[in-house]
Amino acid sequence: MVTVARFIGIFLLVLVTLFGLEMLEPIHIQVVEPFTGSLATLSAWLITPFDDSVIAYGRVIRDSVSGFAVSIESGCNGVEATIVLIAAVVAFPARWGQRLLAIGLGFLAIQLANILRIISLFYLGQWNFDVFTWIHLYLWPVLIMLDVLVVFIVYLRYISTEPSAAEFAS
Amino acid sequence: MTDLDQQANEATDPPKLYQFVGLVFLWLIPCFIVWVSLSSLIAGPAVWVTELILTSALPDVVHGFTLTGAKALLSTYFGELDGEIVSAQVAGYRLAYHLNTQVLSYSLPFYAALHFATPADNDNRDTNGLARFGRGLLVLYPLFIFGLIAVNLKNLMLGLGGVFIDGSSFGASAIGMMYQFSTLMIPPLAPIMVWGWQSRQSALLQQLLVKTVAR
Repeated sequence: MVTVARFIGIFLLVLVTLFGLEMLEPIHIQVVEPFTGSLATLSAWLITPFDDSVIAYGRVIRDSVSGFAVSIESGCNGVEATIVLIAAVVAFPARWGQRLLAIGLGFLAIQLANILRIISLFYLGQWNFDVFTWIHLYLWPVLIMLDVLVVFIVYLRYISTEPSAAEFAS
Repeated sequence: MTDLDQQANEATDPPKLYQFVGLVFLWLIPCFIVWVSLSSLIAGPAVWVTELILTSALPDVVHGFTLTGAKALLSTYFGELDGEIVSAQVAGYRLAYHLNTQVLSYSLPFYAALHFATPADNDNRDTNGLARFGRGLLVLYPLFIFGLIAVNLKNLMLGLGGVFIDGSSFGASAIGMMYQFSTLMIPPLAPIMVWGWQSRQSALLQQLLVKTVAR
């Protein structure tokens, strides 16, 4: 029987392991930084049809008219939120196909919210820096983690009829 | 089932997922307002405990840790002279590092929003909502203190460099990991974990999660 305690144990183990891996310098340089740069490029690509003054280089998105720029750093690339989702999905009993599907679709849902975060902050920063700081530091991290929670709940509802899920008991 | 029974059941049904998320959004507003209004009061005890811990653990490094509003200041026994870290007496001033306590304590209003968005019900073993809320805060508050310690250690490591690392029992990697985990992971994740644990028997979670599970 799979217990809540076991779920929490596996969740924390996977969470800390993946987080530790993310912090390793080779992985950060080879994987996380290029991925973060691609987020900046994608965000700029999405903005450009509506605002052609936006340019992206590296992890930076810059408005060529106002000079305002945002740099996407650790914690703003959705990687940590994805790690939380992976840990939760792996810790809950299900078929690996279902888990991989949940991780894949969940990753897309997280990155969708994350790109919304990047673009909204880019314009909020040009409008009012205090509001930018407040929403950047306190509100968006909460919203991104709520996104993870919603994805996980939807996933659990999806697999709820599976026999493996029925083994889960409090 | 009569129409009256059905209506009664619908009236007591826990909210659906989108309703719950909407409620959390609504509760975030007053919870954030209270949190901003009481930021100094909320951070005060944590800063005091952090100062006790740091001055005890690093008596030759940390002079004090004080709070003004939501901003804390860690002062050291060191200063800088000609690019070198020297004692504060030689430098003529103390090196100090600012810390915005709210980057760690926003877990508290987030947890409050999750808690108050969850309707009380008889299925939940712990029906005393305020006591449950208090216990949740008691779990989150030490994590807030842990975060303050981790950020201060990171500031000392980056500010004082070898003077701090060489003389302390903390490794640079351990401090880096503690800092990243306590700022990136704990504030947004811990409230959900505490809320999830406390609400695991609630009708809301039973409905939101899986009807066939945990019954």
